[in-house]
Amino acid sequence: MEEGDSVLPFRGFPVLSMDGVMNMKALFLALLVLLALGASSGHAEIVVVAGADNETRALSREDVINIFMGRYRRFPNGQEAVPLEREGDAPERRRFYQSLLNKRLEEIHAYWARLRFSGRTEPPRVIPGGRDAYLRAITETPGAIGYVEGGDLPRDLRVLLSLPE
Amino acid sequence: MADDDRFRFSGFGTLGASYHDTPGTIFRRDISQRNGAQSGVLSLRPDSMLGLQFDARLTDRLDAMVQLISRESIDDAYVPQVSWAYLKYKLGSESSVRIGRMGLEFYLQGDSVEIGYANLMVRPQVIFYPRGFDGVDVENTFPLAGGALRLKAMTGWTHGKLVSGQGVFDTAGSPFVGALAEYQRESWTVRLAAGGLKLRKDTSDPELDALRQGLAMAPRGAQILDVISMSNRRQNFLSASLAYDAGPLQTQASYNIIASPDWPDRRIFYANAGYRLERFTPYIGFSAMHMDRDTVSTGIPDGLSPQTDRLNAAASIAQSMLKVNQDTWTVGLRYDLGNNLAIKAQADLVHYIDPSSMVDSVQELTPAGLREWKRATVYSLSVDFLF
Repeated sequence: MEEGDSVLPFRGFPVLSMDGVMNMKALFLALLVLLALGASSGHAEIVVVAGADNETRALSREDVINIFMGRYRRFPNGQEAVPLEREGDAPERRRFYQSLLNKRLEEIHAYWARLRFSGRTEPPRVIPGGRDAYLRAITETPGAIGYVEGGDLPRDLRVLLSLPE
Repeated sequence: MADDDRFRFSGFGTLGASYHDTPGTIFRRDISQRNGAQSGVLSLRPDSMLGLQFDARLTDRLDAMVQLISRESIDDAYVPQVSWAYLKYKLGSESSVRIGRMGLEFYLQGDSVEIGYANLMVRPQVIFYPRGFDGVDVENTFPLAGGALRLKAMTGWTHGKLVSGQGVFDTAGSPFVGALAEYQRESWTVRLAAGGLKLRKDTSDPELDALRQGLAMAPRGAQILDVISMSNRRQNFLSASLAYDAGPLQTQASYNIIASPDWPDRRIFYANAGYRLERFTPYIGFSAMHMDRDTVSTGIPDGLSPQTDRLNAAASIAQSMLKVNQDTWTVGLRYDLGNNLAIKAQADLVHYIDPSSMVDSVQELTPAGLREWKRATVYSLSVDFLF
């Protein structure tokens, strides 16, 4: 499991009513199976998104690296790109950098510490609040680009790149 | 970190301890330090520091930044120094002009050597001086073949004091100009930089003044005076670096040449690599600073008189103090405790004949031709943090 956010429908599992070693064994087996399932298919993949009114239809992985790591912040059509970041240790934030760069958040922080304390480039702007506030900021900010777990996405977002993990 | 849309106050720091047991020597982080870790004593001096930064977004296009650093330096130990203070005008997201006091970015990551948390090792393998300047820099980034090409030009006057065997040398007011090109694509960074400066002042030291007078009478005295003179000395820098940073692996290598009239070129190479295993990153590094070791003799035969022998020795020692020949192997382990805290343990195996990291007064007062290679092992432990 990447994060403990949606680990599994354990709530109606009859843990307390079980007795006997065989039942415990069954429970452990069930646990293992569920954990393995969780690790492989518990999440939809992370996708890079922009507002639906953004003219850009797709981005390459290199484009996304350039924009989020502050190397070059423009869409292919020349429009300025404004990367937005989830707050704190949000699982999607962790998974985004893991799948984009295979880097831990600590490493991303170290990267930005170097650039910030030498006055070079600012890290992506952090949007306080949860997923909804973040997605709203992407649709409301001109040129905004963000990341989110794919699946049921609001219609006013457009997927520019999928990041398989 | 206090975040606001317009103002931000943040900081960084390192609490670092170093230990070595090479008698009669002092280990220092860089050549701006005179006092470092004495033999047999656990010392917080070389690496401990605290930095505070204030950022202000004055308008959409205009930013201001001030940074103060408190660390062991030459005369004002731990008195905070202004390391950065500039106004930045953004011409777009990829183009800016800065005016004020800035860090010198001749070398790979040369403007961020104090940010321990941002660096893999306890300290960069080679720290070049001078480190900062007052002036202007301009940079622009272009998209190129899927990557980004950053071009930067800098000009102004350097600042900062450093300590050589000759004594304290102040680089203040030395005009300089420099430029760099850096191309980044996915995991690769290639970087080329070139620049030059003209030192303004000379080293102030009574013994050196006496030597200068004596050399006026020696047949090749004028030639030696040219070698040991610092005022109006031109120094040119060339730097080529390559870095590869992909997932858990980070590596870099850099080759640098410092050239100056009447001096042999100083050639500096370093390379390092780290591999992250969850929160642990073991790393290894090697650095080499080499310079031709010949010195110019005065032209006065030895044994003529005690006075001329003293002059010959002093002339040789003064030239020898300018030499740097040192190799260092580094091994260490970084442990990341979170998004703003890292612990590092490191050992440096220093092998030197003309020292830079080690202040070795016996070696420094020996003419280059009579020096022998020596070894020192330095153990360091540091805690790096951001706030």
